[in-house]
Amino acid sequence: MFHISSIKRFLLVAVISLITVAWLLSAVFNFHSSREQVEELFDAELAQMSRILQSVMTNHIRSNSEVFSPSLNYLDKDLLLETFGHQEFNERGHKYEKKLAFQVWDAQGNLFFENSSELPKHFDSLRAGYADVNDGKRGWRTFTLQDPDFGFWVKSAQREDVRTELTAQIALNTLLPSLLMMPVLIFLIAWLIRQGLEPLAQISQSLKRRGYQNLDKINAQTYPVELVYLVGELNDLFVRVSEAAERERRFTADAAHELRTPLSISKVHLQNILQVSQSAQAREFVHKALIGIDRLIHMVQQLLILSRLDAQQEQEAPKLVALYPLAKDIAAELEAQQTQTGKGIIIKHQDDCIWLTREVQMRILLRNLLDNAFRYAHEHTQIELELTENEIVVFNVCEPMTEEQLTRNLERFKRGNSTQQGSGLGLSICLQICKQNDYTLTMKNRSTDVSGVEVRITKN
Amino acid sequence: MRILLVEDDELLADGIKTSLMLANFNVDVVHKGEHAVHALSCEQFDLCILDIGLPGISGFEVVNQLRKAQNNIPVLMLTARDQISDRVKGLDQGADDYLLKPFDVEELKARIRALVRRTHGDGSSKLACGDVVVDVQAFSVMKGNQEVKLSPKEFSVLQELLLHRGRVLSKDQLTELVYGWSEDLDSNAIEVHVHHLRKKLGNDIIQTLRGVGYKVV
Repeated sequence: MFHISSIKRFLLVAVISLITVAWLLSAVFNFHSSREQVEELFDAELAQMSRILQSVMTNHIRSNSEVFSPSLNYLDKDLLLETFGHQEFNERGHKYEKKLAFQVWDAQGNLFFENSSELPKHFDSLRAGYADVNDGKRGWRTFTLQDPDFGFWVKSAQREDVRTELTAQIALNTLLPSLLMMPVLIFLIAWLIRQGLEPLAQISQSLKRRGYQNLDKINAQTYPVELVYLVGELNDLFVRVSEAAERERRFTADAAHELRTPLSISKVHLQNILQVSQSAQAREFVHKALIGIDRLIHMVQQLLILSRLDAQQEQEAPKLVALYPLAKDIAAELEAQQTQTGKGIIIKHQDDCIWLTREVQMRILLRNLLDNAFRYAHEHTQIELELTENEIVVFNVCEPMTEEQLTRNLERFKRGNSTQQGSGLGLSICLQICKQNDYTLTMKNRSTDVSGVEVRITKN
Repeated sequence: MRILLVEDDELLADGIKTSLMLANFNVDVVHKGEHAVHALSCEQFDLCILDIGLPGISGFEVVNQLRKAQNNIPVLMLTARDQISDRVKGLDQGADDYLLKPFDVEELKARIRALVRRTHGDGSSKLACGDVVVDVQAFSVMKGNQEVKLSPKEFSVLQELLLHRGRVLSKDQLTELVYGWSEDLDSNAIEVHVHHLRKKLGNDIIQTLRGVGYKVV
């Protein structure tokens, strides 16, 4: 089985090639067949001409006419050109008249009369029937017969070159219509193939146009029977993928939800110990356990956000959102938690920076970007948030990252610096939101006055 | 302050109860919605902490039934459901506040205090009567410029009387509000606390209405 890169091209090339080959074979056959038929017709014509002359001669002899002086009034060569010019025939005759020749010989070998001096005159070589004669200058096709009663000979002839020319012309004329039809036929075949493959093209377009999260079924009823099975299988696949995605989403959401109560139990009891314990060491251990619990709570929260992003996208239609007030709220909230670290935030913006976006998702995006920046920024440094019409840029001062770290940071459960608290999901959530809203997220080291990492969200 | 905690998870209920009791709240616990409705219709509580996902009738239904019965007790919903739709539903049914699990105990206490303040129409965490000022958050009592040391139960009795200022609370009601269901107590316990309070704060702060109860004027 050979590889087919394009069904349409394959069908076009195969069908047109087959038709062309079939047409060529048929043309060769028809050409030869037509030529043979025309040759036979010319031969029959020669025989008929000879018989007419035989009949004329016989009648003349039987009528005992004393003198038979046939006179054929052919036009001379110059007049011939003048009369017919580029025409082949008119009411005065045909310019090929003299290409047909005849001779009448009496039984004694005297040339009784002829119409063309070009036809070789050899009485000795006269034989009844057809013959091809060549006198060195040109060839002739001849038919000779002898009158059985009076013994005279009648010889009719046609010039071979004229016969060949006419035969070829007639044979070619039979091929001309089919030759002219070929481009039309090829065009029609191409059109029909395109029409025939249109449903496949429609399916391709439909799949190409849909978003990656769109797992809606394709309406199989609108497609021809040959594709119904394929579309059915595709729909089954969509259902299976959709169910698997839903199961995964539900599992994550349920697991995260169910974790809330045990986390609450642990946290409440640890806080109770913290309150009643008199031992400084015990209080320190409990404090550390609480940090671990808080980290787990953060991860559960992030998992829930991640599992709900798809559903949120479907539920929330984009609307005009002013980014600056949104960012200001989030920044104030996060900054309030940073009193001990001395980390702050500076927002640069153009007016309110109105984006057509989903507000809930934008809030999650900004919160995760800033939360991430706060986590990894050096103490007593300022995080820079720049909002423009088309971009959101967050920069925080920290150690430069290797290329591998920059790439891995966008993967789930990968933290930029393992000593930091975090779920490793923040940037994955940002990336997911960017995908859903057709934004591009890039992360790179930036080194101006101080070195750090820059995360840039750009509208596509 | 007497709180009814409605939480089906016993471990969590136990943890919350301990936390609140350490903060001098009087907490009673039920694990089912039906029991909560019954308890709230029969006894006096200052606040109800209500889980949504309960066996039997849900927290939404409990608060709905309370409001239908004209019971205006402040209700703080405590749940693992973080969807905005759940919060909206809870608040629309009549809950006064909403706290998401897992929570910080300090936040829970602060919300309880805020709810109680709002219910009693006072914006601050301090309750006052004459020259006596009770700071619920700081657990301190000042008479004039002097701090007065009270036992937790004396503080609770004074707090309940101040929260229900102008209303008469019977001895049984005060007992319920201060002790709840869990403790065995002397039938004269409230009288003893009132006696001690008068001794520390002055005779005229708590008025006794014979055969009826006590009130702060």
